[in-house]
Amino acid sequence: MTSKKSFWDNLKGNNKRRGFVWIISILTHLVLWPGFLLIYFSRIHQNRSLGIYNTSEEYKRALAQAAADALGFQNTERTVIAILLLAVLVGLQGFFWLHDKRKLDFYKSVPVKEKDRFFTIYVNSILIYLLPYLGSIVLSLLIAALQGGISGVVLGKCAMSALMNFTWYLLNLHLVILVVALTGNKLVACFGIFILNMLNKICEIIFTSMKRDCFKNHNEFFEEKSFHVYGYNDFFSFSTNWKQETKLSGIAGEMFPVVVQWILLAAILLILAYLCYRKRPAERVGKAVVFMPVWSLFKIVFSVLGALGAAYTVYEASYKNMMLTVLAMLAAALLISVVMDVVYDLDIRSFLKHPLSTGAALAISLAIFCIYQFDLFGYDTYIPENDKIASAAVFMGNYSQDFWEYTDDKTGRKSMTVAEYLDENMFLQDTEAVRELAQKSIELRKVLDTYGPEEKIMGRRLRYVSVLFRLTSGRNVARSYIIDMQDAETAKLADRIIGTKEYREGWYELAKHEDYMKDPELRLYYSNGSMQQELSPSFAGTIREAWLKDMEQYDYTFAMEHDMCGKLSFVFSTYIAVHDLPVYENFENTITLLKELDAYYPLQPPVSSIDSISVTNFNYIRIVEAAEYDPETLLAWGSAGYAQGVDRFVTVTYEEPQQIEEILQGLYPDDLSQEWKRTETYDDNLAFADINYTITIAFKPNTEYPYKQMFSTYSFKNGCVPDFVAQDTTFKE
Amino acid sequence: MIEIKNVTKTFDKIKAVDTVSVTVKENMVFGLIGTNGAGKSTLLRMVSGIFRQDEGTIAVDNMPVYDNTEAKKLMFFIADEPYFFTGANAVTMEKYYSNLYENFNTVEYYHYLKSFDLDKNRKISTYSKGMKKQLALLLGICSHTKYLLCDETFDGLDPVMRQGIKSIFAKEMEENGLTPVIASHNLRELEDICDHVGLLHKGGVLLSKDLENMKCNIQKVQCVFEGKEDETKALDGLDVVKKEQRGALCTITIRNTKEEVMAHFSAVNTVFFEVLPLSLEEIFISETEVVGYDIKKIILG
Repeated sequence: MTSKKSFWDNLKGNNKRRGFVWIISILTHLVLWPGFLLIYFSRIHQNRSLGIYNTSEEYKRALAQAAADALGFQNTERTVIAILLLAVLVGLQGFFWLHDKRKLDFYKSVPVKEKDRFFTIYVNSILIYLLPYLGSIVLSLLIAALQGGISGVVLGKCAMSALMNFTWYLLNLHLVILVVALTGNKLVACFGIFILNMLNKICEIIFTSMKRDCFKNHNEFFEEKSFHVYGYNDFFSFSTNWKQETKLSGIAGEMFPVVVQWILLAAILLILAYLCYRKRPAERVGKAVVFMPVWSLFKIVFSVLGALGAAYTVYEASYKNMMLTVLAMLAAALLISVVMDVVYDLDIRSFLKHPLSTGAALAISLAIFCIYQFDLFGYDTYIPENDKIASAAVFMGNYSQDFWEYTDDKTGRKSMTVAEYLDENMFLQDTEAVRELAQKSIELRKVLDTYGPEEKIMGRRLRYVSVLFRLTSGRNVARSYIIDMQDAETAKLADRIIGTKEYREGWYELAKHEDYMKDPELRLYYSNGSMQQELSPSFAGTIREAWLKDMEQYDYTFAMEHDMCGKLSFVFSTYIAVHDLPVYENFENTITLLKELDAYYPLQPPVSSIDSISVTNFNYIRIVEAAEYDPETLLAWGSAGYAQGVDRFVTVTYEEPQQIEEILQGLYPDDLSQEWKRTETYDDNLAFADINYTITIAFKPNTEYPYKQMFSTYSFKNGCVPDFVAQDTTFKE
Repeated sequence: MIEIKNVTKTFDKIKAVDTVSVTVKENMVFGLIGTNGAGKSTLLRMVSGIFRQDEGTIAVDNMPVYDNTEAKKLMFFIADEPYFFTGANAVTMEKYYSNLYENFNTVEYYHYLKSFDLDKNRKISTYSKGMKKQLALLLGICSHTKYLLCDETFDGLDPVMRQGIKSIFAKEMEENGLTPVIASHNLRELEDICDHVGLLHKGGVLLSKDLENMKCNIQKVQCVFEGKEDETKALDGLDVVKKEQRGALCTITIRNTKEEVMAHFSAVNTVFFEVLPLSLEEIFISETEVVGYDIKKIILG
């Protein structure tokens, strides 16, 4: 055991030889923190000189925001990459002596304990990061304080960012030390660090591709919320939220589990690194890897990953040719194994020198391929037991919208994907209905697999449903199911799901958030597709209540049996946040209230306000024959399964009121989305609208009606094309 | 004392050192001789604690060496290509070593630097190969460790420097009980410096003997006998290793003490008789021939 004095002496001595990394660390931190803070502040000053801030309070708020951005989670990508590179540089500079024969002779022969040397270099590697970081942060906070841009949020974000960044540094430093201790050659070490950093992403790409290709029920809609074991991509996406988040507890709630996870991983890496450092035989210097078993492990992992990557590249490129796929997979596994054998000995004659690990790589590749290809573990048929499900969320693909959620203190919004919103807000309790829907899908798959292509698609309303089962164990199971909404039992199950309060609150943001109505800048509109009436925001709460009452009758069957007659639009203080609520023709409470407010207009605009109607018939020819494609492809094709009738279209304009009136009977505004009816079938007979036609209504100027624009586009509901229109617009050769 | 017992070290299935047992006694210069690949450097690296032996034991003053700072404090290892810190000068290295070896004599170090005309402020990277070896030797000597392990350190040093170092060795051995262990592939390099020599070949020890002892026990005689009977009489009773004849002049290598040889030849009639000193090379040729090896092939090429 060395005394404290000699430890500090060693530390000082080691520092003398690490001057250039100190300089690089100091410069990096100076640029990252005070450097960017000054750049951000200069922008604020520039904006002030342009008169953008009306009050000094606004100006101070902007400074505080800039400081919080610069010292918090703004541009995490830049920070993450800089810290990663710094950790690699410091780690390599500190421990690369293990790869140099002369230095190894020198350091190992002097009377210094191995563990003391390790911890001297390690502690210095921490100090090289930490001291310049803390110095730069103190300097930055001083600058921010002098400029008046300091606040509790700035300090909090700065402290949290510091913790996160330090954990990130530790994780990478330990990884670098481990790789250096495992390898005996600088080039192999650098390659190893690169590969291990990318390993998480490589695995993710390969296994996601495999799941996508092999499992019919694989779901990518509900992404996993938790961090992967090790990966900066997740750090990037998480910190995107953190930089928008203004409440520190919100960041802390997400961040600390990650920090704990990373610290644990960093600790494991450090222990492994230290063990490898102590056990590494000095004579392996110059060799690729110092421990044969570790090399064999890496050889197998890389060969298997390479083999699977090759398999699925060829699988897609060769249009699912199984023979070619297997050959490519085995060839890739063999090639990588051979290359790794050669690299291990740095001798070309060493290829196939280790046949056992080569054989293992081939066997494991083949086994994993079979597990995925033939779904040996029943991924597609797995439905969790009902008593193990806490709740579920479903996305039925009926309507696409962006979700924006207010942050708690109402000073900003947090953008989220639909999946993220559903994950956080939809907690269906009738999980048995969701399970039964999944079971119906599995049965449907079997039927579809035995049917011919025409039978698969015609007469059906096929739809993909994304399901997230939240298990009581805390694990999430996400699957994608194809269902036939034309099937009566499936429709009933859909009713059981869609007709619940949990579904409405999980799907319609406004159904859950009454407090949104208090937004002082809220604007409210009602639209029937062509007209739009602005309502006083003071009625927002009343209208919402009426709409919620009407929605109690809403389910899938209801939505299929009725048409939307308009929509309510709530526009919030941030212009990008618009929430639309569907209004159906028998939403009595809502429509009564709208009528009282003189905001309701029927779906068909009055004939007297119409100048003309132009009907274009594209005279499409269906070019995609169902017989040639599987249901998934056809479902994806939808109307694109028709050839554009560029030189076959016929446009006729009608101005006669009688003709206009007749045409109006079959029209439906394109602006109203029709939540469930529009695009869920390839079968023309079941389609909501006739895709051959597009109709443009030109309104008269200066009418009493609040038309949004002078023109509006419409479609004919299926089977509602007047005969004279069909005749007039048919293409004649 | 450094005791190496049945030490084996294998690299990639090749035995670099194979069941070697050697004892290095204190206060003598131990020469480790062998061709390239004989295992000298590996043995020295194991003794200095750089490599861990696969089998056997290595004890320095009864202490195991590997990762044992107490044992390492007794040794200073000079590699065939000594390492100095990037951008360092002689002063930087002095500061490093004086921190590690408590007996490091700074005054002596700077005195020797001056004597050997090594500029203490000049970057070591600008030194010649020989100068670097001199510096490494001076650092080793001034560290005042009990054992100084030199791997091919003397190869390439000019005779003046060799003599200088030899003098310092002698002084240090006398004053501080230094025990230098010098590995070399060149027998002639060690001839004038070693007290004990170990010969390594293909990872094993061919012999390990005191040089003086070897020198005392083997003699080279040049003589001209008066008659055939005298020759027979002279050689009878002596351990003749080798006999060469050119005309009347006989050159005989005999494994006996000088006194025994002189006494034996005094009873024989010779026209000319002389006992000549044997070079280390000749001694080794004789010694290794005994155990069935041709030293010329092993070391002298």
